Amino acid sequence: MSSQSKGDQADKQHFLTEDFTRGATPRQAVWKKNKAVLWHYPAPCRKYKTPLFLVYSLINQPFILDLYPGSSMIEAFSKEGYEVYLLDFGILGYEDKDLTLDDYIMGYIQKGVRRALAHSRSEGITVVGYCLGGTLAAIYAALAKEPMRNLILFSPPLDFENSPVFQQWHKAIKSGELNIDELADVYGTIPPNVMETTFRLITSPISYTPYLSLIGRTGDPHFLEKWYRVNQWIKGHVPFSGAALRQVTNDLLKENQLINNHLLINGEKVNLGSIKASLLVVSASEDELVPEEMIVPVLKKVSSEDLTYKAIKAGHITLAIRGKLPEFLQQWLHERSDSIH
Amino acid sequence: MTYKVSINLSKAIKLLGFRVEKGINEAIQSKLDNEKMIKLAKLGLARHTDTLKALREQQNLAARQLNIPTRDDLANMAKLGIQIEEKLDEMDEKLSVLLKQLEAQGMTRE
Repeated sequence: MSSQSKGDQADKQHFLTEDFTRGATPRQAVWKKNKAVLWHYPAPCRKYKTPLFLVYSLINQPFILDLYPGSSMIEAFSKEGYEVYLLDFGILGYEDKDLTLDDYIMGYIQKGVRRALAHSRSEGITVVGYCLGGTLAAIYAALAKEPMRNLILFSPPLDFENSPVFQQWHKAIKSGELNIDELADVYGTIPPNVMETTFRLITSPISYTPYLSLIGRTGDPHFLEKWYRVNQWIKGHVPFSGAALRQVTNDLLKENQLINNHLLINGEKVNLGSIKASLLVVSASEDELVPEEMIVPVLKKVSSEDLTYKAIKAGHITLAIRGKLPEFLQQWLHERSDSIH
Repeated sequence: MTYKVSINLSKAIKLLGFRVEKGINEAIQSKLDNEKMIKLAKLGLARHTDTLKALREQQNLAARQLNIPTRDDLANMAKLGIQIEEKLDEMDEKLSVLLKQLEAQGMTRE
């Protein structure tokens, strides 16, 4: 075997065996609780006092935000001079079956924000929520006692009045005809393959087009590695707590409590009108999972005087893997973050 | 010339592929979105839940006879660890607040 082909083979082996779920940007753990870890990504050259606190979804793993050097949103934030904190909820075990949304919001997000504020020695923070993490971030923002300067929500499902697909199923859940409580109880934590099948049914039951994107690109090792990582992320669902799933299905989906300000977290009413921080809401036009209709109603519910809504032409994860902050986001954050100099 | 044709061909394959996939998915979703399928799923869910429950009961029965811990016993053990961790975390939080206050007082005295 020639040294060239040996090298090629080593390259292929590299991205097939490397544990890229750890992410691409240097980081350190600043706080751990149960399976969750608060990661700190120091800025190579810190320009802003206000750090970013990222809340990712409970359905997939957050390594999509730090996928590959040059295709990482976390790296892009760091390069801009922001201190970044990522709350990784980890992979749940059967013992976490009773974790509720209340626990996630008050026990993990609120405590994580406090830790990030103390660690960064700053007096304000920007909370950034992605997908279901955006829903959690919005709930937290309505209850927060911490100094939240800005809130950014990327594709957050907030209004469950209508469903983009499976309207009959949606109606059956709303009317109580279809109930998953017993199943959630028996499973304890919903296995990743059940989560994957459910979400594939909602988005694309048949999916071969990712393989079509490989046509003509098989000679590009960087493209292949990025493709492989995205593919692993798509298939890398994590177990979902049964108690949290019951709340998502009954309180959010069935009764639409969040957008109607009826949701209770730790006995306290979640009033979206309490959100006064500068707010940026982003929706993606090609997002099959969270369409605009599930996002926009929040704009009329919050009290933020500084309110921006941006609809971009992208899919559910496009922004996360673009590797460069879009100009509107760069500008928005720059204007609302305290500069060091 | 040949190169140009192959580029167009790959683009055409991708475009066609995307359209066909979208069509198939929409067809599947609309075929599944009806009362009959919901009733079927309800029935399937009930049977699946009953099977899982029966399996769990048998598993617990066997575990008791063999004097080995059940899945719930292990989960309860793990929960105890989590509770201890939570208490330590609360103490740690209180300690950092106290340290901060002491630091501030020290600075005022100076």
